[in-house]
Amino acid sequence: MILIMALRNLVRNLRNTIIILTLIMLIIAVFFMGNSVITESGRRLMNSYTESFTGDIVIKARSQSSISLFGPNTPAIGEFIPIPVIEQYNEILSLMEQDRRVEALSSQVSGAAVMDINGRRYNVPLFGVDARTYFQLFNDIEVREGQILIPGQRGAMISAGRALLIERETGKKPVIGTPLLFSTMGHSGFKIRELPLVCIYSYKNSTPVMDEIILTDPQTLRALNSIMLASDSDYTPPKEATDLLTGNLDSLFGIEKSTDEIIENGSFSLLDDLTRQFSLDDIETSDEKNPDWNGGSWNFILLKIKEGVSSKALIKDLNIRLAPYSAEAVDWRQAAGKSALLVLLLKAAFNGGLILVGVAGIIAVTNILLISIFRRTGEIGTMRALGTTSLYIFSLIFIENMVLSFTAGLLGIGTGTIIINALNKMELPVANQLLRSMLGQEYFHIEASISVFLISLAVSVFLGFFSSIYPVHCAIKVEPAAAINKG
Amino acid sequence: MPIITLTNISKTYPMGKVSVEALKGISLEISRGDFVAVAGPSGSGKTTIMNIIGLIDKPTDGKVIIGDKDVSVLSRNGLTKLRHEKLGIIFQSFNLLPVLNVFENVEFPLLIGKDRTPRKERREWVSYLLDEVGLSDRKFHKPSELSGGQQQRVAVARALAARPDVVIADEPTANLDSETGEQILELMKTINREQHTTFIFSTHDERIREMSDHVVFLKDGSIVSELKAKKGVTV
Ligand SMILES: Nc1ncnc2c1ncn2[C@@H]1O[C@H](COP(=O)(O)OP(=O)(O)O)[C@@H](O)[C@H]1O
Ligand SMILES: [Mg+2]
Repeated sequence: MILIMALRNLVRNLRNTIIILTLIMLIIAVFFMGNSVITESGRRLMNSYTESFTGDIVIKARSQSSISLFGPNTPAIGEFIPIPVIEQYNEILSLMEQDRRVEALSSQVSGAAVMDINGRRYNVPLFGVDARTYFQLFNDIEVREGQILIPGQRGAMISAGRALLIERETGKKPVIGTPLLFSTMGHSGFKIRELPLVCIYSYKNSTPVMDEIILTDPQTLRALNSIMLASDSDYTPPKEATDLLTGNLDSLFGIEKSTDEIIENGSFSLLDDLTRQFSLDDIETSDEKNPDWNGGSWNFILLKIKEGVSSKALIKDLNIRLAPYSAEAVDWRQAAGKSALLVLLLKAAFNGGLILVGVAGIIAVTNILLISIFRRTGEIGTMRALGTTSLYIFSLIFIENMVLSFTAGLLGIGTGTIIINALNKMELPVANQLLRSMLGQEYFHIEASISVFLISLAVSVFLGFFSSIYPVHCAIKVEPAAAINKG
Repeated sequence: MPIITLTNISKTYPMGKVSVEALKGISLEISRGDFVAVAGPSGSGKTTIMNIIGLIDKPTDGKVIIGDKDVSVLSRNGLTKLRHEKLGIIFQSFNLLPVLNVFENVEFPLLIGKDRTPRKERREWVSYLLDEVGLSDRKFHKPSELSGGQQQRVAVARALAARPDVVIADEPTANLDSETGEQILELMKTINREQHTTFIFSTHDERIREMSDHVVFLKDGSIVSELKAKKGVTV
């Protein structure tokens, strides 16, 4: 009976019902569509990142500041923060190799350098990879020209995207065998290495961030990073060089600047001078000459986990087991660093905005309901006089509003789905770079997700719930006397 | 034992700085099965006393006993329960629930309490009541489709649905033309005679005394006189 009365009341107050229905429906439609797009981009981003360069889980040395595969996430200006190496690498590696939940793994050294090619300079992130396993782990890597690195080979691989950029900017297409000059400047000094371009590759689902990556052999990168084994004899540059570097590097440029800034500002002369001053052979370290180069240090172990294994649970478990080794496991998102935060940030911004809209919606709906309760005071009083309890009145009004908001939620989701399907059918090209990198696709295509559906429905019920609280509170306070005064 | 006992009831309405004394120490006993009229001119306190008996309003002072219960000790919920179990109320302006049809309006009091009469029995009882008030052929009409007199007949049936001890009606004929009003009173009287339900109704029509067992004359919040007929003598 209550349900029948509730439904009939909704029909009777059709104008109010339609206003509230439309209001909640619009909010939910926007919420549903926005979150569908964000969820889809999140899913695509995850797929392309995990299949291209992060793996599912990354093991790294425990560190104070947050560190991604690209290095420290928040570098202090002008300060060089080295990426810590995994201390007990061999022990951890064998642990991981024995773990049945791990499908495959590979190791990586990370760094950043300035790359010279065809007379141009680029700041580039470098991944020194274990060629024995890396390309099996990431089968989204497709060779366009040349050949992938083989174990022990020195060389660098650039993405097709970067090759195109270089060609556009220098007018010269990079060809296999072109020498690439990498230089770094840290507190242990200035390093420079030349590597042949061995491969131009592309990722199946590329994003601008991924196109930046340059894959090299690990030993060259270790040298550039000045990571050396304890047994290695460190290279000491001639006195003139150290004076030049450690003495007053900052004052040379007037103010404190990061290496990046110096280079971007076009002050190349120092690097050029140094390049001329030291022949490349002079500064090669024993690590690079060591034939057993796999014994070198690594920054990261990348894991791909077996299907059906929960990444979250495994990370939790690994972190307990890795604690004694002062290493930790992080998910793909943390491993990707800032580049993966975009979607999260967008989600937070979008839903933050919608919360404001939702609050405004709740206030509006509350007002409409209050007016409707006020108009029905006599009726509620009559029911009270006939002996209905406040609980009955509470249930009646509450059911009305829940049915209303639930229906509005469904309609909103329906509307959202129709709009998304229409957009999908139109095969809109995604022109915007940002959107493209987010969606990781060239044509707009969103798949509906159950979780977004359920969350949207829950949000609509919440909207209905919160806007009911005060009106219901007023309704149950109506006294039987209202039947006479207002009847 | 009287079914309702009022002892020294007074009711004062605060009206800003002054206050209106609507009832001035009224004592009254109502016997079970009586057809009781509360008569008096407009403003004499009829509505006020009916609301107090109907547990819709509380007296400022005095004691109300319904059956053997002193209602002053009851909570809001307790009053609701007592109202539902013992009282049936008929309103001046009918107050049918607009979203329910005639049948459902009469059935409503049976659906809100704890008492769970079987569905079939319940429906038979509602049909019987609608028969009694002569609206068997209007079961599925909405209140808005009925005349005032028909609506008040539905209200009478509704007041009887939960088998109350006392039916309370404040000027049930005030919004009806005199002929229809008389029919409603006849209907109430018939039910009073057949089912021995106590009826208390107010009216400003003095002629009503002929059909009542007990007439209470009110003026300016006080009982000016009372007339009690011997059972079986008046009709
Ligand atoms: N809610 C109220 N507030 C103030 N005064 C009231 C209120 N209800 C009734 N009164 C006053 O109480 C007196 C009795 O009113 P009422 O019981 O309605 O009389 P009747 O029903 O016989 O016309 C009147 O003087 C009326 O003005
Ligand atoms: Mg009155």
